Amino acid sequence: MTRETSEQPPEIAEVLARWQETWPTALQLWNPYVSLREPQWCLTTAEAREAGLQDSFAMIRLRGLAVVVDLETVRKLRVENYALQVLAHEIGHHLLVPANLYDYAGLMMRVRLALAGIEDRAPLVANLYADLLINDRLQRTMGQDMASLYRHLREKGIGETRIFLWYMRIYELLWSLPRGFLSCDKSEPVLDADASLGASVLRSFARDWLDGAGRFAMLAYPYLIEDALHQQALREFAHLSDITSAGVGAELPAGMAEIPSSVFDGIVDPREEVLQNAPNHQEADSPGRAKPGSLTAIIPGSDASTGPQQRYMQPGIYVDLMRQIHPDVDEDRLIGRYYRDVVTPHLVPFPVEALGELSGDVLPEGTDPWEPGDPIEDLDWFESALLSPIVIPGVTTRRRVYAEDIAEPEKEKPYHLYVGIDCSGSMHNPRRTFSWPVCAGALVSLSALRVGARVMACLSGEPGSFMETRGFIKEENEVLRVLTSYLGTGYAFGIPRLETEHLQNAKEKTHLLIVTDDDIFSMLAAPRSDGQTNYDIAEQALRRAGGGGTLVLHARAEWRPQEAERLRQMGWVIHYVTDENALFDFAKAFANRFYRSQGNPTCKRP
Amino acid sequence: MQKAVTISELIHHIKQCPSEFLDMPARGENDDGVHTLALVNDILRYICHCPTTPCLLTVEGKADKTAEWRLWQVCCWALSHPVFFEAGPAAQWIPLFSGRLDEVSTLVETEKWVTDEERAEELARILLSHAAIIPEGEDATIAADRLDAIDTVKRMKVIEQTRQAELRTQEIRRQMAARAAREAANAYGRE
Amino acid sequence: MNPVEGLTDRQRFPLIDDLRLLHRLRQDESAPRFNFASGDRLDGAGLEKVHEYRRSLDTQPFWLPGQLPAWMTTFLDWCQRQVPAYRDIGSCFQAIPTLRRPQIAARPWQYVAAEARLEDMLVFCTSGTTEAPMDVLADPVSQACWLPQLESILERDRIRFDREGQKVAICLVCDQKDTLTYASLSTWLGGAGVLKINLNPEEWSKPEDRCVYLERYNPEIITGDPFSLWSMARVAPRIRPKAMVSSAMTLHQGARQLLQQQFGCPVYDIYSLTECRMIAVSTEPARYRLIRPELYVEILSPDSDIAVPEGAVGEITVTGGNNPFLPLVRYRTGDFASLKYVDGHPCLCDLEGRSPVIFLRQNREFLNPIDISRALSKVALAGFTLHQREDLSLEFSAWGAELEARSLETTLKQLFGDAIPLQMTLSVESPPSPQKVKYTSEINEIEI
Repeated sequence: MTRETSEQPPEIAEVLARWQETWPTALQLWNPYVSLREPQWCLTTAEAREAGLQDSFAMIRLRGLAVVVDLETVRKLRVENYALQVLAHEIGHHLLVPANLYDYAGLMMRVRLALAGIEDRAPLVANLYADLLINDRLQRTMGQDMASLYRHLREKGIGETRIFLWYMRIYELLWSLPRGFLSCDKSEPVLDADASLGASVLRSFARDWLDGAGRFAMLAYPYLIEDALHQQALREFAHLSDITSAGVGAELPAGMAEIPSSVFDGIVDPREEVLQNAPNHQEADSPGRAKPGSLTAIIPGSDASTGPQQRYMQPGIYVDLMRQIHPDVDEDRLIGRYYRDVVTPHLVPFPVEALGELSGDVLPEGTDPWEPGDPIEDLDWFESALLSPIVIPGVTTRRRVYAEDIAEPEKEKPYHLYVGIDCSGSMHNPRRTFSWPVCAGALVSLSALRVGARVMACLSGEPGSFMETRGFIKEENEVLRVLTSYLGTGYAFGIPRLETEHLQNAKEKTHLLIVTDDDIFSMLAAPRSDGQTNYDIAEQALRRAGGGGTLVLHARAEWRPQEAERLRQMGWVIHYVTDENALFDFAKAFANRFYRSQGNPTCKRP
Repeated sequence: MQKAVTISELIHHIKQCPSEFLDMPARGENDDGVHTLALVNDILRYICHCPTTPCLLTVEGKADKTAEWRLWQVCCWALSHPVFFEAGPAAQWIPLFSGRLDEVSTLVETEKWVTDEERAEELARILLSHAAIIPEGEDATIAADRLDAIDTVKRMKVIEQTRQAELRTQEIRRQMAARAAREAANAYGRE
Repeated sequence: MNPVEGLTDRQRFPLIDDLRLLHRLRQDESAPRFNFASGDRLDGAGLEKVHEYRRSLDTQPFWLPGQLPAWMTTFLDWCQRQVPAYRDIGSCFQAIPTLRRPQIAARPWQYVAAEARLEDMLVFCTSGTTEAPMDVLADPVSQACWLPQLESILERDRIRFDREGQKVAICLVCDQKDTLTYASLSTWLGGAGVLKINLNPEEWSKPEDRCVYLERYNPEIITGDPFSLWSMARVAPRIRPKAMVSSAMTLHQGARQLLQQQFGCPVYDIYSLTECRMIAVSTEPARYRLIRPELYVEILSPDSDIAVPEGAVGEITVTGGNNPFLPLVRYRTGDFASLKYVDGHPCLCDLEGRSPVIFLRQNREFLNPIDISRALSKVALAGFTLHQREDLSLEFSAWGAELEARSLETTLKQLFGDAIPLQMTLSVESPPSPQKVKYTSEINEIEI
């Protein structure tokens, strides 16, 4: 039953009045208690464009729970009589799918994993899936005649792409509409089969819709494989595109760099599922036919995850994902956010304010062996790791011994941190590939900032170039911005960087932490015009900093023993790592040792 | 006389199927399971009101017919809907059991026939179409087209035919975007 | 989609244990800021295949005038069984419809042989000057075979690679705004170094480093397009390569002589395409000798799939090659030439359309057309033509759905300089010509 539309659309003022009047009813449909701001009614398409609405007549923005309606396009497309359906649909995006930025990001992540290789199609597919979920709820549970709205839009121009026909066929199956009501009246077995599977995904995952997103996207995959067809589909669905700008202006959701392992369980092709689930199915030995539930095999695994416990997507992929949610966000911020996401679970806790009854501070006095049975909190991972990279409980494990500090009643401040990272030709770009050195640098820096220390970060690939923060600062984003930049010049960390005035004039005690590889010894031995070598610079800097120095070398201890000994004599602590995971463990131990508060505001000193 | 039933009413009925109908078929006289053949023959006698009809359905020995027999059991429940009472002679149902039902039974997990909306609809439509009953509110063309659209045998055939080529294409497409592929290899000259 | 680094050095060089040269090249104090990493990815089986290929270049005969190569029947049969796009081509070669670049660009997966192992797949993004960008798929073997192809050319002049682990064998020189650059090694050449560098001074710590670095490693062979080689001649490093190889555009005789004199070595002009790598080489003006017996070349009429009479100019069309990810059957290259047999050996003559088009910035510096294509590819254009007059003024016409005159003007002025006179015509409808991008210029190289 299509509604009658008169020859001429009503005047814009009348449309506005009618739609305004309908708004409370639309809200009521979903939930009488929910209150959403009235939509932004744009009287002209120009105004709507200004508000960010591209080709559709309505859209949402998650920030501020906004709905934007272009009444001129409403009139042009003659959907003025469908105010309730349109508004209820938009409200559905706020209340049902995607509802919030976190779930929107989750939706997009799943759709992208399913659309491996053609991830740029994700916004379209996510939008189609969200629309289906909402429309099906409105049509079948809430008694709204969505079919007529879609029928009306179809009369304005039917799409020719197979994805359009497939998508509309799903509605026909879901709502028992005659063939051709929304799609085309010619029967095509593949479309029927895929639409039937699509309808089934919709029905099965109406509640846990995030779990169905991967399956839906897998069904859509073959229809979008060609670039030209994707472009055409974007044009055909333009009127229906209403959540692709949903993330604009919103805060970045945290924790999205991680791929929860359960996500992969939903990246399943329903076609594969029906073939495999047939009771008499013989396990086909054909390559590439993965079992449902273990479809990780067909996801470019090495690309998908990395970092601690292999749980994180690559930074480049993270940036692509977030860009699809947040088209206007700055890449520096995203990369910073990525590494912060990765290290956050490993940061030292925020210091807890001391309670009154604490008599005094405890200071570390040395270490004793830690044996199984001792409180796990007492285990000093840093000292243990220094003793042996392989931890054997009771053998290589040490525990701190503390003495109560009576002499010094004042609170101690944590040491400032100078973190220098080798960004030479042998390092890869942390924006493209997950970088353990950058991750380690972020972990210790953010831990230091958390407990109130100041941090100066320096990237250096010399001879060549370097980049550093303007002195010792407290701004997390600025530190991350430097750490996550990339130089790729020279061969090692430039020791002359330690001559920075910020270290020379430092009033607070500062610890120097440098992450580099064994090429640093060539750098240290390099002669200078003043007759000194960089060894001298390293020694002077250490003395001036006053808080000790740690050199983390991606190398083996046996490679340059004499040179290393020379540094040790100066007071540098050398920590060798041979694989990059170990670098992360080192960073955790380091942060814990230097910046973890022990139930009182004092941070440990070396 | 033909009784009227809407498709949703019959779907609802199928989804109410008591779990006993999904029990495993008995493997031999003394087994605890469902004696499927007896059940089928009983229901056919029942709906045709001819309690004396001799055993219509027999089975030639075949190793494992679990899936087939469990679907038969579900059908017995479905046929207990009044719309099928006296909907024709009992013998007319026999080809359905040994033909179409046999074929689809191996393609779908049995439970799906009573839990999945679309499979329940398919079963309902198979039975109705076999009894030449058109659901209320539809005409013959719509009913046929609708069954055609959700036909499992047809769907599986299509999927199997296109699957291998589709998978290969998708794998290539994925690989084209994989980082390892995009790093490519040394170029030695300009093209 | 842009290339990304995705491997470790171990994966890049499965057979090379000694990576010291690689580290030296990357970390040299005069090294450019390399922005990428690359390897040849040859494993044992791959290396063996390159050896086989090398032998076949020496032993396999070329086809005879008027005949198809002996391998054609087997090849077509293999294509029908292996390649989805060729499933129904039939076995009559002349009846097979020809193939054009946009067909492959739209569906490259249709051209991948069933036996090709996807883990071997490499993707090369072409950013040609006159065509829309396209992803060309290949495997490490067909990619590495560029080297035996080059060797077979050099060998005729008794030039050989030293194949020494600590030397740089090949340096691919570019001169453009930005391009991928890397230091690498070659397994085929015994672990010798391979460089891809950009002469753009912004890529180096100091402009002088370009000479210092090139002189320090003194590559055996220098490759590049004519623009880049001229640029290198201007930078004038004191290096003594064994040979220079120019490709991508025709190298004119004047430029060839200049390079030969300055660097004291022979200069080869190679006709090659990303879709199939090397096709022919020219050591003398206007004649390119075919170098690959496994790549059949025919000359077809531009508008029907019929061969032109021998000696007449037509479209160069190739069949064969050794890339399982893109076996070619009657692929029209878009380039025109005639085919003549000289002493029974096929040669391309009158090769057209590859003359370098010279654009100058306001300050009369060279502007590489690649940079123009790249910059304009960011603006959604359906196509365009660009002409530079002798007085450096520009005529630009473009067509496409939503053109913004403002941003086009900004883009062009950024490339050429703010004061350059610009005449712009924009339209929605595309002109009848099938060519999407066309560059012309009234400036010629002799004047520079």
